[in-house]
Amino acid sequence: MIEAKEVSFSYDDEETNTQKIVVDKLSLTINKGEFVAILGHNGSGKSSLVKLFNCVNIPCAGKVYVDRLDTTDEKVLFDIRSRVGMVFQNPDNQLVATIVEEDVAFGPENLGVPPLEIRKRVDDALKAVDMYAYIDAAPHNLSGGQKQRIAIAGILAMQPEYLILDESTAMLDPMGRREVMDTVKRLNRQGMAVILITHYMEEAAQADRVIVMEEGRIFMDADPKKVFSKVEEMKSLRLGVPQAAELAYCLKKGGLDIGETVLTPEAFVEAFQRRIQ
Amino acid sequence: MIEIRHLTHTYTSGIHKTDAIRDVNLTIADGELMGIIGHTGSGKSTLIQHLNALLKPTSGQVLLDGVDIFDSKAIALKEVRKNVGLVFQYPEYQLFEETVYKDIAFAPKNYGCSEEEIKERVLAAAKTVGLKENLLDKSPFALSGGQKRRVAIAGVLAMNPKVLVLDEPAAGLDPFGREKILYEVEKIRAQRGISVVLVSHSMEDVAAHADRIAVMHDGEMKMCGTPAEIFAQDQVLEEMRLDVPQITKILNALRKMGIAVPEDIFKVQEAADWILQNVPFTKG
Amino acid sequence: MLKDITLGQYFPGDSVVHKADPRMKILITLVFLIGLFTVKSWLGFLPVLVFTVFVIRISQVPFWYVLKGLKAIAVLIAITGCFNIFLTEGTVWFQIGWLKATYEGLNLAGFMLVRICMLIVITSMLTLTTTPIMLTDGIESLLNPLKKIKVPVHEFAMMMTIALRFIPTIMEETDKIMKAQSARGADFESGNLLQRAKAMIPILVPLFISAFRRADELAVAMECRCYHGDQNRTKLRQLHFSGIDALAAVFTLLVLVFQFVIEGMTL
Repeated sequence: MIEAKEVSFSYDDEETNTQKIVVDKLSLTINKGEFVAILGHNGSGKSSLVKLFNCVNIPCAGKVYVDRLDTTDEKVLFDIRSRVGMVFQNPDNQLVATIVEEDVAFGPENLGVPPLEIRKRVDDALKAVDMYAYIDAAPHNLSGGQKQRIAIAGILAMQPEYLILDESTAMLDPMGRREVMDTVKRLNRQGMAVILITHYMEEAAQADRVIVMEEGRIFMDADPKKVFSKVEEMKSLRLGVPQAAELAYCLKKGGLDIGETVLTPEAFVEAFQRRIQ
Repeated sequence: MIEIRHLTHTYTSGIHKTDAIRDVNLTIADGELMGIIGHTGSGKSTLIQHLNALLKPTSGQVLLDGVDIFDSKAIALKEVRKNVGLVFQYPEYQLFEETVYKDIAFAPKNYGCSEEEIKERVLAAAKTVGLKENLLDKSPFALSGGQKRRVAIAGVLAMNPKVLVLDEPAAGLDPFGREKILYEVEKIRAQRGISVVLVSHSMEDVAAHADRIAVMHDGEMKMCGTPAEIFAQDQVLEEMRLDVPQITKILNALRKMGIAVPEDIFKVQEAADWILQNVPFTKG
Repeated sequence: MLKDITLGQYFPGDSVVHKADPRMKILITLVFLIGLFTVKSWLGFLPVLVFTVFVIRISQVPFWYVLKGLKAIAVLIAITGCFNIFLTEGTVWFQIGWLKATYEGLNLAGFMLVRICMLIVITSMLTLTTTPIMLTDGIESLLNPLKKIKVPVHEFAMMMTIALRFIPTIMEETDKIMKAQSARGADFESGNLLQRAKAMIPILVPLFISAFRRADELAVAMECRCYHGDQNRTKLRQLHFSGIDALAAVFTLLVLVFQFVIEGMTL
């Protein structure tokens, strides 16, 4: 369980010489095995928030606990970081080694895991992201989606409980995004908690829970259907909703209510058909 | 007008020869907004680098207003690049000057414009992409991601090209930023009356903004036509694993149900309006 | 031209040479390099030559591929050769104006030629059969004793690894930036030296900024994966001396002994 209690984070803005508050007295609980998407426009504080979960950012007020471990306690730093793994945006800037398996081994090596155990973890992690065939490949020869899957494997090899993806699909093409989303969903089904930061509403719609951030605070925290039924609010936050949900909303405004909120074209067509007949 | 004729580009590495693009034919009319869609590795990047002669074809031609751009006797390389402006993906990574003004002025300076003309062009380009004048004296590195990208696009616009080619201008931006930059691309076309080539892997963006769409797959141009013509073939697009926009999927399903939705609707609001007017339903 | 440099490139394979311990390969290479410089007679090259040919054979790297590396330094060899031929005192072979080619010079040039070629071939064999990462591991392991006197051996090896990882990425980026600036009418090819140097600024500035950004992001990513230097660090790949390595060591010693014997006989 990740618990944020009245947590704040700020940094010094060098230009205006002021403290800029990016996370503002925020409280939040994320359970093991959950699939949470975090939405918010650039600068809403979502990236700063998740970096509080693995001690990259240290709170300036309030506390964050990961499985009851205090993130300000230096002694448990590596314990927390191996529990809360993070995949970043640019696939090129997070792979360390020249060979895939060496890169995946990087985390467990740092944790001092015995070599034979590392071997097993590397193989398992690469199989879990469906990249075992590329065990000897050089990262720069892989596609963006493949590189991100290697980055995920590198995190899995630390055997974490929580996997954070900080806009990890932003630089990928649709095929790469699908690869990463499929992998993440599969891992979630196997019990991994996933925290997904994304700009793509269709991706967020696949989560169990969507958190919308604004000005360093939580604006909405509900299941995707509830969140994406608030079309006007989402647009006012410079966000969007999946086109299926938007169409249903426009129809509802015109007097044709097709019932519950739909997130996919299939769901829309089904609900529409029922309503028309 | 740009005419691409039987364009083929073959890469050689070691003993392997691969066709990055194969026998591509395409004509882009003056003032047209042409969308090019395809996966990474489909050859779209290779294709657009031929349009301003950054790459030379293995065979085939590119004609700019009837002149072969690879014929150095007919037209100088620099002249080609001035007329066909190319904005790469993530263009903000090419900024290098101390101020936004100087960075936008880089191209006109390379083409030997007078100080006055440079100023005129920089101001015009900045205005077209929606950069406020008070930003011009700032360092480009102090700007936000979206603003940096505008500076980079203005830097190419300042050449006053006849054709503007943009590779994924909205990549990596949030939904609001994407919409805004694509709106600016349309504005550029409207204000300057130039041809625009918009490369993207987002079907939604291209569908909403392009006059015609060319689909690249495995180095070949598989389809070319109006968005309505392209999206009518959703089966083929799915086979190429290209994403069809949700709205198109829905409307295609409605058509199968026997509701005759016109082919040229790609925007959610338009679709809703049409359905409300044409589909009989009981209120409540 | 750049493509011809085989020095530093890896030729994938599965031979005993590929599988041998990188530490042993580095040591043997060093021994032979020193050996090459102690050779004083033509015949003295023979044992090393035979051994090298033998190693190339069993490594399954094609001969032409190994020799390709020599092409890149052909000019260098030719120039040193000329210096040797014309600047050595001795019996005149032929004369162009005041330049005298001597037989002694010819002999010396030939000797140098063989020495340099052997040197290149032997070091190429090391890099052709050893992945950069193994090479780094090997160097780190060999230099391990220096950690006691506070030499940052691990940090050095990590730097090597990261450099190797990012060279292709940065190369690609350089190419892209050059193209992007060319698209804005930048000209890198004409003008005098000063103008050309100035023309590099639009490439170098973005490249440096991007390299710093990458370094920054990579550092955070490495921290998130619990990197904290080599304290309590283990390694996936363990280096093991095997029977092959012992055999290689014995062979090397034999070759050295032969070399000394031959040298002794001819001197």
